[in-house]
Amino acid sequence: MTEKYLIPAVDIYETEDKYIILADMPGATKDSIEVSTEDEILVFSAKVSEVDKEWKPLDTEFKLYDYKREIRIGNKIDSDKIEAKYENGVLTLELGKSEQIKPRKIAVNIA
Amino acid sequence: MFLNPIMMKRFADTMFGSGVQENCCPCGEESYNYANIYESDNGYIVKLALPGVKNEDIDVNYSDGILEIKAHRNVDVSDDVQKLYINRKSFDFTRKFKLPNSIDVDKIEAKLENGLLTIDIPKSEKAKPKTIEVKVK
Repeated sequence: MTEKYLIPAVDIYETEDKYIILADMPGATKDSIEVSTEDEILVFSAKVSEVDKEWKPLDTEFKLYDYKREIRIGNKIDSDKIEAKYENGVLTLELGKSEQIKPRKIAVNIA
Repeated sequence: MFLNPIMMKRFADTMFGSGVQENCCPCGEESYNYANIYESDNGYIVKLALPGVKNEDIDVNYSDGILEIKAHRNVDVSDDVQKLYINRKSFDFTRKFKLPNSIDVDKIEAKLENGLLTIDIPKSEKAKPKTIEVKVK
């Protein structure tokens, strides 16, 4: 069986010291949310809860599957500085920028 | 900075994304008013996926056989962050359902959990299926 999942819609913002990702993931179970980084790719996923068997579908206009999305982050993120929060069906990830990409002032020596 | 949507998408693909089709939840289109309806012996449930919607932004009303659901969300961003990629939509809709007569109006309940609105509509006692014992003599 091939794995079927939804790729959540995201917004991505940037501030001076971090990136913020918001992902629409309604119906996910909080315990199942996983966030990881590997090989410069950020992966987040979650499982959704099923409706009890006693409920027979009369009309199905949308389907919920487990969520998964991979985002290439390159060397932009310090993986020790990732914070995740799930509220009202929206996953918020705050990703601290890695030191090497933060803007820095370069002293100019004028001889 | 001004970027048209196509450029924005390309930007996200190269900087962050992998060029994938996003599912603007729940159905891949720009609409959030899609509902699922289920039935059991005891009642009906109506489910809508409303990520990012708070309790106070939802109105559920029942009147004269019609269940009415109003919901909205504003995807607002403060000006002190830079928008790199925006694909979550704001929405504002009203959806109405005609309910059968065989329900217990006083026991309709709505709850919002993890961005999923669930409306419980119990059947009235006389509408529930009953097993009648047949005595064989």
